Amino acid sequence: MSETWREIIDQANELPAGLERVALTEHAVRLADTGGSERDQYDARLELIEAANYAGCPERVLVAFSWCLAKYDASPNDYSPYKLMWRYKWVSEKLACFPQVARAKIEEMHDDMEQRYRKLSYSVRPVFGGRFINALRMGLIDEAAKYFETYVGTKRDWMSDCAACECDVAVDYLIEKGQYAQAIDEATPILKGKLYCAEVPQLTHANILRPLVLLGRMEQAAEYHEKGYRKVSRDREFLGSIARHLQYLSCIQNDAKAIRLVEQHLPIAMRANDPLRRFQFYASLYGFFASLAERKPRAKKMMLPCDMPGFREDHRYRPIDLADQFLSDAKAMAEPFDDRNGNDYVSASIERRRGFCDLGK
Amino acid sequence: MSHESNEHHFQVDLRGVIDLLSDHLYSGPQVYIREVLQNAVDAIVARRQLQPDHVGSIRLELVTAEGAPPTLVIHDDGIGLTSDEVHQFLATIGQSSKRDQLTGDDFIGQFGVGLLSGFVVSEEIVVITRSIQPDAATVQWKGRADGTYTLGQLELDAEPGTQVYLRAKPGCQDFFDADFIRETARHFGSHLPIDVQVWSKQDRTLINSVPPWRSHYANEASRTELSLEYGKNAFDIDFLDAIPLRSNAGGVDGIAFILPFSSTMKTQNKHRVYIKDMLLSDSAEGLLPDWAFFVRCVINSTTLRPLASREGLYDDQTLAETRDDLGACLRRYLVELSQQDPNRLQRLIHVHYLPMKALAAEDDEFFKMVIDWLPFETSLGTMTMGEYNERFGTVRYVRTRDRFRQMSSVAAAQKMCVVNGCYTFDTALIEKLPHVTNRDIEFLDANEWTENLDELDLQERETAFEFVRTANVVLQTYGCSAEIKKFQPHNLPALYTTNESADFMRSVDQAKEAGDEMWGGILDAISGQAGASAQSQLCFNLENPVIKKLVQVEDRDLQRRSIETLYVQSLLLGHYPLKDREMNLLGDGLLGWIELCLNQRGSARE
Repeated sequence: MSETWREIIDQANELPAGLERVALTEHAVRLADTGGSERDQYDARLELIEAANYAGCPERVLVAFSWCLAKYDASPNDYSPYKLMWRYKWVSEKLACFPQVARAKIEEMHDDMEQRYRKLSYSVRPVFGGRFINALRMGLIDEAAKYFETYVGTKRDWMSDCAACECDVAVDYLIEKGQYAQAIDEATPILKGKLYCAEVPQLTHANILRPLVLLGRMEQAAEYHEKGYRKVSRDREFLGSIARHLQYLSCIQNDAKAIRLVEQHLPIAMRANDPLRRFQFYASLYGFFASLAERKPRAKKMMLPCDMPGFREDHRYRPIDLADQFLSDAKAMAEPFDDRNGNDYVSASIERRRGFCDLGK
Repeated sequence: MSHESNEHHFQVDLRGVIDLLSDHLYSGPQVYIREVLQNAVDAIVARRQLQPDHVGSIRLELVTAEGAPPTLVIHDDGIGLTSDEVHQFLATIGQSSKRDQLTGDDFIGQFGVGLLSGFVVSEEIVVITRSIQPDAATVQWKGRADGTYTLGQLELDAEPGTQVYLRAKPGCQDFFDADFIRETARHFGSHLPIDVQVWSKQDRTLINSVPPWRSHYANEASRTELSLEYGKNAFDIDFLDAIPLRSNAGGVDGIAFILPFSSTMKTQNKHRVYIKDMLLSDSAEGLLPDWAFFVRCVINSTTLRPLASREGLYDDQTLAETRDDLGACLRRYLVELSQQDPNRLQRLIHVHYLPMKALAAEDDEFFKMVIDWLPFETSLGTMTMGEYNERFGTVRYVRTRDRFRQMSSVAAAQKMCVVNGCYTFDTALIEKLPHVTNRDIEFLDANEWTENLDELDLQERETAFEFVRTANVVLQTYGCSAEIKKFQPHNLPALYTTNESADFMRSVDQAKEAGDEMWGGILDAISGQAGASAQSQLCFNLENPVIKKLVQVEDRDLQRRSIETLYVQSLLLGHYPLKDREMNLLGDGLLGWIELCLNQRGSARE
């Protein structure tokens, strides 16, 4: 216990983003809690919010953030709002990933964020950005369109997301609307490496694969798969992007690499903390194995985790069995989302993913 | 004789372009030296294509005069330019003369802003050039930063080649210092295959030195020795070894130096890259696979593409293939070492276990080769997997820091060896064991592992029965269950264990206590699942003399107090932040004890 919490944070910052770093940061928080001032506890939690955000642990982001927000409200003169309000953006984009959080609660939180931003004279562009992203995630397409309009119409300031993130959001929306050629065009500065940040182009490279394939631009798709997968393969936060790479590999029928991806990432998906990302991965697993079952139905040797339901001692699995297992898992995960969203957007996306996986035929 | 003196204008706003270069593209004004050097090199190479016997030499001459700004003159005896060529190429910004004039790979510098960089340090650039073409005249071009230039012929009968004159503009004298020019020229151009001399009033220096890729070695041993010497001079580090690097895809020839100290995945990018013998960057990214962060490289490439700024590598297919090739070189070295000098490999792993683990996690063959030499933290100290396998057989492990912290000292006291899988690659490596090597592993669940502790015998069970029942009732309100075992160290009265969900719920409760209703609702919503699976447990130790007495005590109230105090003590020992109720327990509990003792003493006196 001879190290201070700040020294532990310094050590944590030497680590790449991931669970080890989160655990070390939590250790620092605990030290600050048991020996430090409220200021120390606050600062340590700001670090935890960041470490958890980039490690795919949105639940820890929410818990630490709500604590900090409460302390800020209790003594607003003691804390600078800037870092906190910046992290509010991360929180606001993650809320819809939890199906147990009601729509009313999500709206309440966006309203709270808007109120605070206005009070601090920040532009509310990121608030509408968050509303847009969540509406899109919940399949509320009309609402999303309205929010998007307000979002692009609101001026940028120092609290807005960086140019790379905003470009990526625009690209994503175009893809969602089926405007593939336009999306790829819009993505040019990202794809050329002119715009980048902590999450871009990792997200974009994965999102752009399906549009490229649908437009027949196979060489480009291969290029962005190579570059994109390399950047995300060690990163828990990008489980959704990894799922897209899996769909792509299924589509081009590179089964060996797809199986390798499954072996590497299924243990991570099983323990994923982000319910939406976990669903996306399981839906992609179903898509791949269903596709594989039709092309190569025989049992194959695969290194799957021993705590997986359906684990076999002989490590030989029939793709159809895995497809059935993962389909039922994905459906079970989709149900609470559909309940919350009031539509079948999430469960319907299972077959859409399957469609992409089958495209190679 | 008269000369044509035409005023012409550049076709682009030159000031804007210069600002763009200095603010966004180049890392600093010193880059101008690289650019003018590159032009000189390109000119000589072009001349050699037409006159293969031509050797070529470059001279950077610093001219200083009292009361006047210093001037740097760059001489080369390369291909030179005709009046037409000057007109055409220098005047159109962004067009590289070399690309249009000659084909193929004789030239790099696809981005023809080389000469423009002179305007970052100079208001006026003068170029005197004579082409090797027969009957070519000596031509003088004067370009100004405001976008005007003059072009005319000179009466001189100069040798073919080019001289570029840069006069320091106010504020830029530092970039015209003799030492600065010499060091910068050496930094970028020491490995050029063309002689580069730097002349100043005081001295004349040849800045070249032979790079590893043009050196000749008598044998492998001398290659390694000389390479290490080169590495020491280049980086001021005593490297452990020097590995030759080759890639066909990237036209790469170079050396990977093994660092004598361990490094992290984040500090990867310090590789020195030369493109066609000119330094591109001291910190090029993307050259090696992610796992290879135990080396620092010096390479020369003939085909890798630089970025527009010429200060990094373009991330294209060629780079990707080069990366694979170089990764294979390093991997081959490690495999050979494992076969020919395993002791040496083990010493290397001792320093660089992290990159070895990174590679083993993604490469099954490599995993099989090195797993037994990789070190892991356990409750009985750090040991290699091979040692663990030999001494304990089945690999027992936990996945998180918190679990390890909770149980490692008690496990150790039981002589139980548990591996701490919390480090980045460790769990992945352990979970690979049954697939790749047929060894058994056992994941230790947080609360179940206490089943490994000694059970009570029938008599002891009988005696402790009521106590355990009482403890469960008392602790239920704190979300904790109770059990009793016997374990070392005997001075530990109770061991508190939790699982991930319980730890998470503790932080949720903390946040809820601090926050308002809206957030309380949100936190409840996201923690439902964790709440349901949260388990914490207080395991009492019958080996402890106080516990032995406590289980026999008839006074239920006394037992309750004791249980509550032991509970809070365990939380404190584990550095768990206490919830409000637990804080109260601590406060009221201790006061209660003091009161009890005082009462007893009081009644004793009576």
